[in-house]
Amino acid sequence: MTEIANIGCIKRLQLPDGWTATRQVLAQFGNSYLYHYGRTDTLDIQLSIFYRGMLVSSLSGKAFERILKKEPHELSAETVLSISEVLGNCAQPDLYELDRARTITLADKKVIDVEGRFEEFPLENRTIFINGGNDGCAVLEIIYSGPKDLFSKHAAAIDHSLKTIEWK
Amino acid sequence: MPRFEKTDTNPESMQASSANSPSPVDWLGANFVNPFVNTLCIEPANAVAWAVDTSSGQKEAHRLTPLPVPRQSAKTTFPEVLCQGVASAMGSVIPYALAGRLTGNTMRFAGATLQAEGVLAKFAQSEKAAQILGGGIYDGMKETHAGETHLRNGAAGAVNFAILEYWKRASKSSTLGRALDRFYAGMFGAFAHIAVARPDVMCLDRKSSDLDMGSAILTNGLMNALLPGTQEGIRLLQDKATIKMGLGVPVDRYLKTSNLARHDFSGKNESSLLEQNRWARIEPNAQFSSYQHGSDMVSLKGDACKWTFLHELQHRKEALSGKAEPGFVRAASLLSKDSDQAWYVYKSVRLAQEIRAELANYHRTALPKYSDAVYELKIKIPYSGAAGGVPYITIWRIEFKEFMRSKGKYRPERDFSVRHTDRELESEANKLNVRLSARQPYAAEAISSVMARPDLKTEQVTRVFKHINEFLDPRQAHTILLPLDRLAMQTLRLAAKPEKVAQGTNPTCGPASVEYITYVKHPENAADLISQVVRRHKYDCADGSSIIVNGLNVLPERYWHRSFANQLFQTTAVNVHWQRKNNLEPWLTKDDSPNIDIAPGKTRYQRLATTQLNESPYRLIDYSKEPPALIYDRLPPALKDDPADPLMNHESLNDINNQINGAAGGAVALPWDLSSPQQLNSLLAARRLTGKLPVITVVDSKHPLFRDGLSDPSAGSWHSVVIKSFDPIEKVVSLFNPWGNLIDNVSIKQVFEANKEQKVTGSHKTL
Repeated sequence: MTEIANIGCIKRLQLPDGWTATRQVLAQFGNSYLYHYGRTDTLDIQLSIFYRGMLVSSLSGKAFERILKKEPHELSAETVLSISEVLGNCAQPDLYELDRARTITLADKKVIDVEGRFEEFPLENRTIFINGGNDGCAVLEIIYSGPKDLFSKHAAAIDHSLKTIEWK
Repeated sequence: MPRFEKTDTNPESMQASSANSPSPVDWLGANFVNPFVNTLCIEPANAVAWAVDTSSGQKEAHRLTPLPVPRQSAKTTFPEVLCQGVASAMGSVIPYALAGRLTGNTMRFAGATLQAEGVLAKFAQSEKAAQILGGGIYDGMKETHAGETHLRNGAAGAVNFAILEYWKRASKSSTLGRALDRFYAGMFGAFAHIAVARPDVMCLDRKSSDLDMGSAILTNGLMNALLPGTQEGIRLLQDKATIKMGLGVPVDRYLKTSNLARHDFSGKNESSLLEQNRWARIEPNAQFSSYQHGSDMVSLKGDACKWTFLHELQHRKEALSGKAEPGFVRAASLLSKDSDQAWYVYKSVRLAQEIRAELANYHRTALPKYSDAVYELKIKIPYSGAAGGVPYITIWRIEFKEFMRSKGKYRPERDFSVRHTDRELESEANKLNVRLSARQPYAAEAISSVMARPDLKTEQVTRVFKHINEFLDPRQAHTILLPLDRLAMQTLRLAAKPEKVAQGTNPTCGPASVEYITYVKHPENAADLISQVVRRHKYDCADGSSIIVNGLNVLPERYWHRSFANQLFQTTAVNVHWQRKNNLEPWLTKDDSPNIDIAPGKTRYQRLATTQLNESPYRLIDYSKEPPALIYDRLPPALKDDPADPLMNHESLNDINNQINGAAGGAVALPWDLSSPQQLNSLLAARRLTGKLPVITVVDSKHPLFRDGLSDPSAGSWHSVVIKSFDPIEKVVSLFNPWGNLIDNVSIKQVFEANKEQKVTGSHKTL
């Protein structure tokens, strides 16, 4: 079983059986990093850990922190709009069909969990937005995406894997 | 009045063909197409030919033979009569409406030239009178037939159109009701036409006639129903054409068609001002509201209100009457003696002009006291914003400089900034505004903000607008439908504020830095690049090479967080370098591989279709290979961290700049290796003195200045930033970071440290 270790604020994360590191793209934009993980039996499905390389504005960072301070809840459309910079492409209605946005707790840390799809491709998507710093401005993302059938097939395993996360 | 009863050149054959049940196509041709073509083309052509022949004294008639139309007879069926009537009405309404419009234009031209007043002016502006005269003249020019004369035909046409134009209609009735009203008027008009043109056929004891009165009446009725729409369509076309030619539209026409149509101008001052400006021409949707004395044109912004309209009309009235001239002469006479006094007089003259223009509107509210209002305006106007937000007093000062330079001969062309008096700039700005304002509500602001940049020359701003106009030109045939209005706005905003340049989530910090410098120093070159790429999918470099920019590269990105204008410039810039290269040095040396050559023009930085939305989709691809191969695959392992890397160093950036902005300005990127802070200091001091800032330098993005406060960034690399300005006393610089931010007060020491902190050995690789 592959283990992800020491990426940003992630100390450890167990990947499901059959999943391994595939490739990485470092510093494509500023201090960004992108680590890809996938399955050997199909290249179409992917789990990625992504830092976009630059901070979001302090206004967006504060809004992000405020949301994470509350008990786990579904995010309203207005709330999604208030953190559109944090959610990036997932907050663009012309790019992303948002099914659900909510806060959840992973290993005692609250994160934003967004589910939907990029209709243009089409790719099912689930992204976990993590406050990677002290002020909500450094946003780390765990992105799970793939075609609908494969996405559904491995969704439970990925969900289980996310529950093994440990923070620094 | 349209007619078709005598156009059958071979009646026997037509009758015969009619009797032999012609095919539907032949029937339609004979009963619809032929009468339509006859009335639309052949009758007008013959009328013009008659006029030319008559005026030149030629006896030999040059006429076209009308197409055959079945003669009306006892055997003629109702569908034939109806079809011929409809076709003739449709065909003839256009020449009649055109005749009315041409006559109207001639009357207006004569009125404006003679500066006609009173009843004569009203007559010259009357569209009804123009249509009556035009219709009469056209009928008078038409060929005569048995029992007709040109004079009687002309009079009959005028009588007919007088009935059509002045027939009382119930304005509140439905569209159908109004159409029926017009139809009845047309029928009556036709009857009157026949009565004047052919009084012989009106005799009660006549036995037969070659004139089919029923058809004529039906045709005229139908034509009259179609006339108002056709007149309006021709008017609209003419307005569009005259606006495009910079001739504007007549003021009365503007008042009917603009958003001012719903306003009331019946007040004493307003109606008097309108009468005094009855021959003014208006240029709608202009960049600024103003009066241009030279071309006698009142330019109005798209959203100009009633009061702006009256204000500018007041300026026109004053300019034509020369009311301010004695003041200017007095200011000129003072120039040689006391320039302060001359300035005072000049300023007073300009202030008085603005006050009078403002007072033209003051009747709208109860004016408490005239002197109080003048006093208030005297205080308010000089410091209130004119076009582009520049205060009047600043504009007058600039004008006064020109007044002094010309020894008192200069007269303000317009009521604001001398900067805006450049005709070419005005013309390009107005054209741009007209093309953009329908879809982009902030177009005027964006255009103004480029014009407000104090460091740009007028020619530069003109060229920026010209290049944007090139790709917005509706006559351009674009192979791909692009959001050009959005691209134009982005280019304008970048030209106004180069700090908006951003690389998005793409590894193009170097090209973005060149883009920033281009928008700072030569925004016209950036606009030219965008225009060429959009129009031709090619860019011509300074050395004559032609760079291909095609495929997905010219489609707007959706996921990588930069504007379309940024995307086009940056990807073209990378291609400017790589499509002219013939080897892979310095990224691959002979030590790494025996073959480092690439075919010139065959390596392109190309966007690929992708589903990896967090990665830049661009790759350097060698298209000389079959299949095309990634340059990335040939790189040594140390450089293989990002397949989208455009592989740029300071020499590449200087090369790109030379091709886009020319080599005259020298290098725009500092050498990679800076030996000491002192060297950096002296380099920047020399560049500052010679006007060669901004300049690009390389930093390590892991340096605290760029790592966003993260204590331990997991990744980082070489990054290009721009030193925007340098303070030699404090020894600090201001940095532009293509991630989209400015960093002020950075010490020379910090820049030097960032340049050195973590150097990748053996490569000069940046993001």
